[in-house]
Amino acid sequence: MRVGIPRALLYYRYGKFWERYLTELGAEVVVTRKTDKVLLQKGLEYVSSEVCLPVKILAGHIADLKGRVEAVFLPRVVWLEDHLYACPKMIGIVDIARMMLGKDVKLIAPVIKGGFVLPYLAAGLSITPNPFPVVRAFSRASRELNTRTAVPEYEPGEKRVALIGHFYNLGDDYIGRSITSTFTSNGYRVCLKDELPEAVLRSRKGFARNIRWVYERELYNAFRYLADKVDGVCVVVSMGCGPDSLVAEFMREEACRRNIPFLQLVLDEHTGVAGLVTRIEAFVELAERRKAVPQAS
Amino acid sequence: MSKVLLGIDVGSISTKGVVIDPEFRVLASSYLRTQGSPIKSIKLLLRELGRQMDGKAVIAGAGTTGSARRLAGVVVQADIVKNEIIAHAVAAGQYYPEACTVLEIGGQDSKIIILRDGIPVDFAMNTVCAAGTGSFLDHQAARLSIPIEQFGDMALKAESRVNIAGRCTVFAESDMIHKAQLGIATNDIIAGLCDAIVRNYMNTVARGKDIRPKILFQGGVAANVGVRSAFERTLEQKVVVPEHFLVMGAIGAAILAGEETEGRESRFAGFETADVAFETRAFECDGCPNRCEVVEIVREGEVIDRYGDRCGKWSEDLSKSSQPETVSQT
Repeated sequence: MRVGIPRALLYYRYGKFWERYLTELGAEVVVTRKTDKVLLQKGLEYVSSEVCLPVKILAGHIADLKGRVEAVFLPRVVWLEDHLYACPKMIGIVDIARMMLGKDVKLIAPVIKGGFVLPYLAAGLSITPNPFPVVRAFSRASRELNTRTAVPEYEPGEKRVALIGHFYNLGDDYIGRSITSTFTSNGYRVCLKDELPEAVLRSRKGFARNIRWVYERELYNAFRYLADKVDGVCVVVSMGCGPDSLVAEFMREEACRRNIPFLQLVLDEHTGVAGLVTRIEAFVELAERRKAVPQAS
Repeated sequence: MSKVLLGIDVGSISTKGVVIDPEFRVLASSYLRTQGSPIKSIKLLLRELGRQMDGKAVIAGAGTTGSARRLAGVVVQADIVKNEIIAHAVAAGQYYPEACTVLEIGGQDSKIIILRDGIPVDFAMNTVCAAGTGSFLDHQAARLSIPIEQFGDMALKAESRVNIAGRCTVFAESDMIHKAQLGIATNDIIAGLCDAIVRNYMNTVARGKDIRPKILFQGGVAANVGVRSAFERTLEQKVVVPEHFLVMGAIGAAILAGEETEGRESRFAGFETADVAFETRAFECDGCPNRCEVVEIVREGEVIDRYGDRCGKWSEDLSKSSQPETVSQT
């Protein structure tokens, strides 16, 4: 069976695992190409203008799979352990996909509420009816899941910025590359949330306990972990993202209190690279001018 | 002959230029509308500044800023190309070392800069929406057939201030029309519009910022006394409009050019650049589905700069074969 995976949203977190699992199950896996203007334009035709940029991009990738595959693999993450929810749009994308793909394309969408083992195994059975190879494929693919335990090392004397944003924004070159490269070309090492171990990102300590969105809790924990190790914090959020806008506000307040330079970038399909570069350049320069003079207030 | 500094600020709506002396006094300044053709207005600007200076001084450094800073930098061979946030902050800090806040509203963007001890420490810019900026005021003035210069005075003459929805220019416009149809005086509507612009600014750009006095108000919209007094009313503080509020960005670029050229010669191409033939060409690259719009700047038939490509294929190709620096000597 030819199974398509859209290279968008949760792909940037679980993609390797999905690919391996489906391949082990004997499926022919088709992953869409990296996001580009054509894919984004396709997506814009399908979804309402109110949704966030990554969902529009996802729609473009799904549209691109139409007619090329017999099935599309798109798990529906509702909540993960500790009843931490994914955002409503992420939960709803499977329905968008179903509308877009019609009846001819099968949609393999394991529903994940808490544990993910059983839903994935059940999804595997829809490709191969025999349980034994499904269990074997799953256990082999599990090796691809993130099991990072070590924290990154930070060299003394290097200039660092914490780039706090979702993996599906910063991992997607079409959205994230100009942001990362502007920091790098200004001599900054970019510290990403996804370099940190799971234990740090899932921490329930302090304010993180109150955040009920799984990926936003990660953002906040990464911010807490990185804040005193960097020269500045840059938060990247999608226009129209409710959870992000709330959590970003808490991070902004805390950065302000702790006197850490803070920049928030808001992304949508109208965001020009030039505008992002202007803001980042100014931010970098401000951070440096500020460091040169000890603060009076 | 004395050594002076040149600063150019090419924004979306207007092009500004200044020549300042080493004590940062303004010797020549010019303000004109960009009108869709930045190169044309840069050349007009150079001609005008050259005329005002009349060969009396040598340009020791040139800086550019604004949204077309890169293009302007290539055209005049600037010593430094700097973003408008830093440029505005530097100029404000130079003239008003005690300033703690800079409010800036230009043609299509608005920003706030927080200074402490003359050093910029924080800033914010409007995000994806240009509601409440100069071009919107322009548009409303044109719709009401009122010269934009009179807008502020009319707002001050208002007897009562009506509430206009300011979050979105489309809604603001329909709200203004609705109020006019009800028979509300134009002055009151304009005053309401000034309030709406300030309210929108305070809720978006300035949200969460620590606004302390002294407060400066710069950029084209600072010409509008109605908006200024609306700011004063909201902030319950005096708001100072600097003498050269229109060209503060250009002054900042000139000051930065002075720092940059310390101990070396300027690369500035001279006021004669106004007579050099420049051309810009844009083409869509078909190398990948991104279809980037690549811009080429051509000086007398020779491509001197390219940008706009996401991958760097065109811009890097050019910097390998012919550096803009070598071109400047021809």
